[in-house]
Amino acid sequence: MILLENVSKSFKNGVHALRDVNLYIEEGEFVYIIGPTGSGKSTLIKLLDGELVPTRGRVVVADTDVGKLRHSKVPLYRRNIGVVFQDFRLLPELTVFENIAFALQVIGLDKVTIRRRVREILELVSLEDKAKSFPRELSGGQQQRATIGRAIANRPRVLIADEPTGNLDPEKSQEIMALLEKINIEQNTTILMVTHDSNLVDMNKKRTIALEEGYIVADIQKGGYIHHD
Amino acid sequence: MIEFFRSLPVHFKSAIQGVLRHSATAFSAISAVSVTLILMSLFMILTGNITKFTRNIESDFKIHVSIDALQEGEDIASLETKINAIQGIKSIEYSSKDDELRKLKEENPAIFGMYEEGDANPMRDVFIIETTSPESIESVTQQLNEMEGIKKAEYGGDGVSVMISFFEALRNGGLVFVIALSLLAVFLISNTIKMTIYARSTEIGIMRNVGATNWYVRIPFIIEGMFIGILGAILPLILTYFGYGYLYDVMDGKFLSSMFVMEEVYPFVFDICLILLGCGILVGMIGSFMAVSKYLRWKR
Repeated sequence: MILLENVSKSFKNGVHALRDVNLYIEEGEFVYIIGPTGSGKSTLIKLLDGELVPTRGRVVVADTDVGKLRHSKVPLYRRNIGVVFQDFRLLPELTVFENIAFALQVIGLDKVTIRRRVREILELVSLEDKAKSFPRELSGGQQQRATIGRAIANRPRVLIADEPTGNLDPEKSQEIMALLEKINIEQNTTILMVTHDSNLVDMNKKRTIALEEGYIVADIQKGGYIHHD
Repeated sequence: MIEFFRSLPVHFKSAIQGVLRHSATAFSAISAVSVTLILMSLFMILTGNITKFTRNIESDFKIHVSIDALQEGEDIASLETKINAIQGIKSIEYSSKDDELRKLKEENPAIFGMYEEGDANPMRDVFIIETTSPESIESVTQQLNEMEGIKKAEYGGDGVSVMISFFEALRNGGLVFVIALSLLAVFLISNTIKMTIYARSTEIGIMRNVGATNWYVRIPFIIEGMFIGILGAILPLILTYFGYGYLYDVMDGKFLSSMFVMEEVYPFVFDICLILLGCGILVGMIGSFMAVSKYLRWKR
């Protein structure tokens, strides 16, 4: 599903964010990406969602060579992947319902289909009763669930979550984890989750990839947070 | 395509929101469009009338060729074919010396009444020649003067040709001026749209994240630019419509003398209004297209 071949990314200011990364993630996998700040996690996500182009190597997601996409084709590619951000990025002047519907409007679905799909999603992320609320009226956990709802609304094959629990307390984090696992199992969505949260990784053991200074320093199938000092 | 039409209401809504949210910058762009279009309107009224004036003058603008008295019958016919071979000649008309005298007698019987037709006629046979363009009149006259069998070729004089080239210069100068102003308006609109884009950059970012195509992102801004263009066209349209009608009435349909007959109010003002509206919309579209495309280009 996701394939990185000898991928390097350096920036004009001389920072080498990723160095010769090789990675293969199968369809339906749930993978953690861990590593300290500045280890290249964000760069990896940006390469995957087409925001950045690798300096060297090949990034292939769902049979698409992401680095070779033309500018105008990037949006079409993004319809295959959902991205969840730490800071939620919900539109403040739209309700939860409208925020999720927005993602479907953008890809041109008709009203009836949108309404049906949004209801399904709201049920999946347990926000049925918050459909008419605005993001500011929701707790952090609820906002994050809405964001996840928006990301999976158009049934992406890959879901990338960038520190989805970064702003949440442990209890709410566990809630989000449960939701992501549900999506992973029920919809067979490949999930890539970037996180700092060692407790979470230890509690819900999955394949874990550790990045450090742009290198993959560990790739453990059985999972668990790698502590290094 | 279906996708496009389905999303139109959403785009219109956000375009109106954009104009309202940045009413100050929108207003400056609207004024810029208004000023440009008013000047454009003045320019078009000027050009339209000048074209009409020139056409009027040109119709009076003929070369008068006096034929040498020794030429007769066949010689005159062969002279006519020779003249016809000169480039830039539209029509050629023969008028005998008796015809010429008759015309003068009609115009001024007191002076010319004493002359008689026939051998005592002091006039000459003439050709009256029209040229295809006023610019070629001078060179044609010169060529005619060099021809054998022609006594003299002359036209209305330098005054008229100077006036025509002055009109021409006025038209070209005005055109350059209007184009420059349009560019300025495009720039101002693109600036306004840039403000809207910055205000909505989060939204655009999210749109791109969830897979909105470049066109989907562009359309509301382009519609916003069109709105600004249309709003900016309102004042010029009103001014043109009523202003020209008023001017026409006040001047009684002519400028200074009856030589300069003004263009009729209808459909002249309709044409101008249509062009103004079209230009306003176009300028708005180009300005906003430039702004969004620039923004999209550095955001993947």
